[in-house]
Parts: sequence; structure tokens; C-alpha cells
Amino acid sequence: MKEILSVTNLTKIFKLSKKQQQLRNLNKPIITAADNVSFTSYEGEVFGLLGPNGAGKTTVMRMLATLINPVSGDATVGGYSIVKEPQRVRENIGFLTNELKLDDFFTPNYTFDFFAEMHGIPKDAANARKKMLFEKFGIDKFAEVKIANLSLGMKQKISLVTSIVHDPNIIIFDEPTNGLDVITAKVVTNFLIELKKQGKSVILSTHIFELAEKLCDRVGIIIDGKMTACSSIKEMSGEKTLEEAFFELYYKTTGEAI
Amino acid sequence: MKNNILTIMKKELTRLFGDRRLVFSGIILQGLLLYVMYTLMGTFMSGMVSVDDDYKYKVSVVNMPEQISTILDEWYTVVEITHVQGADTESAKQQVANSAIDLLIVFSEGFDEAVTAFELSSGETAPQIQIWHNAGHIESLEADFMFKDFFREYERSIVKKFDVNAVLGAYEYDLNEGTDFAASLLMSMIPMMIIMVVYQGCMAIAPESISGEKERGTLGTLLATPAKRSHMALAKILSITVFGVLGSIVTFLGMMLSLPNMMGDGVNISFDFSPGEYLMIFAVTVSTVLVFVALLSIMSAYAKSIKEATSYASPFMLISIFCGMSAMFTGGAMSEVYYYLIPIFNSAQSLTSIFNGDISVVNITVTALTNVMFALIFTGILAKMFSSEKIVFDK
Repeated sequence: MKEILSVTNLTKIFKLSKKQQQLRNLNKPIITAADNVSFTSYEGEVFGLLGPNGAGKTTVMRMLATLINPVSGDATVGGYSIVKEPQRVRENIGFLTNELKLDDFFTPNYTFDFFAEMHGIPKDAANARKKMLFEKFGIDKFAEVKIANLSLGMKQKISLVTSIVHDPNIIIFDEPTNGLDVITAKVVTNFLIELKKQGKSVILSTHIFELAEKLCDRVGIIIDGKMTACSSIKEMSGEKTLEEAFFELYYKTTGEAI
Repeated sequence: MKNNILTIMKKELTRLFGDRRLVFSGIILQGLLLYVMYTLMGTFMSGMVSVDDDYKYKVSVVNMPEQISTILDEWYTVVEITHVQGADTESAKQQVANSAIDLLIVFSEGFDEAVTAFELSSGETAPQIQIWHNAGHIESLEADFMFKDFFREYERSIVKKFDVNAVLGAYEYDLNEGTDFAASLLMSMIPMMIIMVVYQGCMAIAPESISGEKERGTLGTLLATPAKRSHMALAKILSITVFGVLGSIVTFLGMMLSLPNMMGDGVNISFDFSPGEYLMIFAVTVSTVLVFVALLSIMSAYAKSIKEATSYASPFMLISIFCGMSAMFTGGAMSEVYYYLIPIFNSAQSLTSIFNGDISVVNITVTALTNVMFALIFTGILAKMFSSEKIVFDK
């Protein structure tokens, strides 16, 4: 299988203010959000990054999307280094996270056109893709309504659509169903299944085990910034459910029983 | 991806100009406010400090001398004189205090004779004229000035030894061509006003465009696209500059149109610049906007919210005012070219030189280039900041 993503000793350290130290009950002014994280993902597979909140999943995803720089280590995404060729990486991935918002002032139509232009998609191809995606997600009826006036679910659909405006082969989704109502969450899940069928490579971070079991071929578990385990779902869970396997691993790693 | 700068600029400008509130507060409001404020101030002040043309001053006089009375008889159209007995002096003073009359003039008894007999070398006290006025009352003040002037002239006519400026008409000795002192003073203040206005214009928009995007979480979305950080920074700065320049032009127009209203009819200001000079004013102003926008963009990127960005920007307002005022203290524009390597200060100096008609093309070119260079350096810093998670994600 061809490697599509290769992460090698990716490390990220954040400085903490005194207030942040107090909040986290830490004595050091720094925190290692990602500690020598290494894993590989292959073409056409869905790779899940699992872990509790604050484990470092989002930090790793942001580094892969080149929004933040690692302190050390590197990763190649579609053959491009996130450290040396961040622009090429961004050209080749679709990145979706709840934290990145669309400007409420614009309509879905304008927003799609803007992102298509940013990715250098020719006008005709962009229009055809817009028509297809807007119809698929039911955005077409709201194409000229300001995003500010749309429901949260519709906003998330527009975010999803604009993240794949350039039909990327590598898709990085950070907690894509977080905060969504069940219907929109289902739409997103179905879309991820469809992407998998299309042979796209998906890197997905989540703390929802059901979602991981349903979608992922392989998973990596991050606890306290460290990649604690990385294998196929079957290998990881054995006779247990993925959730049970995770808590067992969590206990072994942290000594804290849940 | 070369067109990303234009694509982002197009989006930014659509965003800025599409927001009516922002257009009103960022472009129209300041010019309108200045116009209304200056015009109202002018109307109010001229009402406060001037006396109606057909006003007749009410003056009470004690011991009016005959010779002066003869002269003052000719002033009957502007002065209404009431003769008062010496015993009524106190009640006349009270009338001045109450503004019932404008002036009380008390001559010493036998004034004409005493003046004729008086010898300066005698060492005796000269004959006295006492003028009582009320400084809180503009008509009283005007009458006081008028009569003091008259008595000085009268005194000179009695002891005439020489003339000053008597060959031609009094105004013909003024060699000033066009502008008067008040106008010159005003002209020297205009560079400061322009710098202030430009800074305020930029301050109204830069925090909205950068801190606002951070607050709304849309900056990260833009950063996730393939656009280069430097392109993004440049596109942002150029868009805000377009908006800032428009805002500055409107505010400048508002200020210029309202200045004659504020200063009244007495001040003669003329702006007869050549197209080349207008071009120089424009080049200096645009380059100044660029520096301000780039600087404010850095502050806005550092700030967590629009409010915080505005609070960072306020102290810099003082620096811009200080730079703007510098030309007033240096007695005109400096000639040495190295002064024009200091951004903002160079803008004030260059504008002063243009307004004074003392133009050095080299200094103005150095100003524009220096400002553009500083703006590019600041753009580079902004681009670096866009790569920092602390700047982009810290809320």
C-alpha cells in the first residue's frame, strides 16, 4: 500500500501563562501537546486519531494542516513536507474543523466561489462542482442567503463543502461531528463513507468510538500527547469493543481507572 | 496561486464596502462629524465674539471736554453718549457692571485746560481719563478698545512730533500677498490635522478587519487555504489601505469645507495647488495610510479582540499627533534628507513643505519610498504573525 501520510516524531510545545498553569494545575510554564508522535496512513484508508479531550489530537491535526508549526519532527502529506512545503500541503488537503468558521456576512454561493478561486479552480469546473455539492447537501435552496441567517447544521454543511471545493485526495477532519445535531452528524458520517468509497484518504480525529468503529480502517490512540497505540481496529480491540480497549489502554498509560 | 492577493482583496473589499455600518463609521461619519462640528463651532464662536454691524455703543461720560466732544459728535451713528454728573459715577459703574451701558469714561475736571498747561518735565501727574468697562460683555470690550485707540490717536495729534505710515493708506504698508496670519497659522496646522485624520480613519477599520476575523474564527479558515502568508498579509493591508484612503479623503474634505465656516469671513485661505502638488499630497497621504494600516494590522493581529486592538492603537494616536505637530515647532519643513527617513514624521514634514510652497521633490520621494518600505517590513512581520498559533488561535 502506498503511504499517503507519514508522521515522524512530531512534537509541539506550548508556553503557558501563570493563569493557564493554575487552570491546568501544572508547575511548569510549558506543556507538550504532541510528544514525538509518529504514525503512517495509507492511500484510500480512513485513519482515526482517537483520544480524550486535550490529549493533543487537534494539535496534531493543525500541524498536519500546516496551521501551526512543529517544534521538531516532520510529516509528509501526499509527499509534501509540512515543514518545508506547507503551501503545497494546503493545496492537496481538505481541512475541516469546528474552530474554523465561515464569514457570516457572505452567502454560500460567494463563499464557495471565493474558496474555489483561492484553490485556483477554473470557473466552469468550480460551477459544476458547486452545483453537484450544493444539491447533494441541500444548500442550493439557501445559496443566496447570508450565512448569518442559516442554521448551525447548514453552516456546518457549507464548511464541509468549502473544505473540499478543490476535490482533494487527502481529507483531514478534526472532530467533524462535534456539536452537530443527529441529522447533520449523520449527513457528515455518510459523506465520509462516500469519500472512503471514492478511494480518498481520510484522517479523522474523534473521541466518538462508534464513529471510529464505523469508518476507520486503522486508528491511533493519543493520550497526554503521546501516540500510545496504532493499529487496525481489529488488532486494537480484539474480542472487546474499541471503547473497552481504549479504557484499558488509558488505565495502563495513566494509572487512572474510569 | 498568484492571483490570491487580488482574490483576497476582492473579498475584503466586498466585505468592507458591503457592510453599511462600516462604510458609514469608517468613511462617512468622521468627515461628516468634523464638518458639522467645525461649522457649529464657527457659528457659535462668531456669534460670541462679534458685535452686530448696526450696534450703537452706549457710553456714559463724566466731565466731557469740549474739544473731544466736537470730535465725538461725528460718531453719532455708532455711539450714543450720555453725559453724567460726577456724583452719579458710582451708579454709572453699576450700569456698566450690569451691562445696561457699555462704557463709562471719566475725565478729570478741566481736562482741556489741564492738557494745554501740562508739561512733561514738570514731574506732576498728567490729566487723567479713566475708562470703565465690562470684559464679560463683548460690546463693552469692543467699545473699550475703540475708545482707547481713539484717545491714543488724540494724544498723538496734540503732541505731534513725527508721523508713522502716514504717506500711504494704512493697509498699503502690508506687503502680504493673499494669506493673513491666522490663515498661515491654520495652514501650519493642516499637516497635523491630516496625519490625525488619516490615523483615525485607519483605526476605524484595521481592528475590524483583522481582530474581527480572529474573533469570528474566520482568519484560520483563510489560513487553511493555499495562500501564502505574505500574500494574505499584503492583501489585507492593501484592502484596508483602499478603505483608509477613501475615509481620509472624505474626512479631509469635511475638514477643508468646514474650515471657512469655522474661521469666519476674516480669514483668507487659498488652496491653489498645481496637479503635481496634488499628486504629491496624495502620494504622501497614501504612503502614510500604508504605514498606519500595516502598524495597526500588527497590533490587531496581536490583540485578542477588536476592543483590545483599539486600546493598543490609542496611545499611537498621541505619537501621530506629536509627529504631525513637529513641523509647527521646527518652523517649517526641515531641508536635510535624513529627516525624511523617519516614517510619519517625514509625512508631516513633507506635507508642511507642500503647504508652504517650499517643495523638495527629493525629500517627498524619499518620504513615499521610506513609508512604503516600512509598510513592507510591517507586512513581513504580519505574515510571520499569521504563522504563529499564539496569534491565530489564542482567544
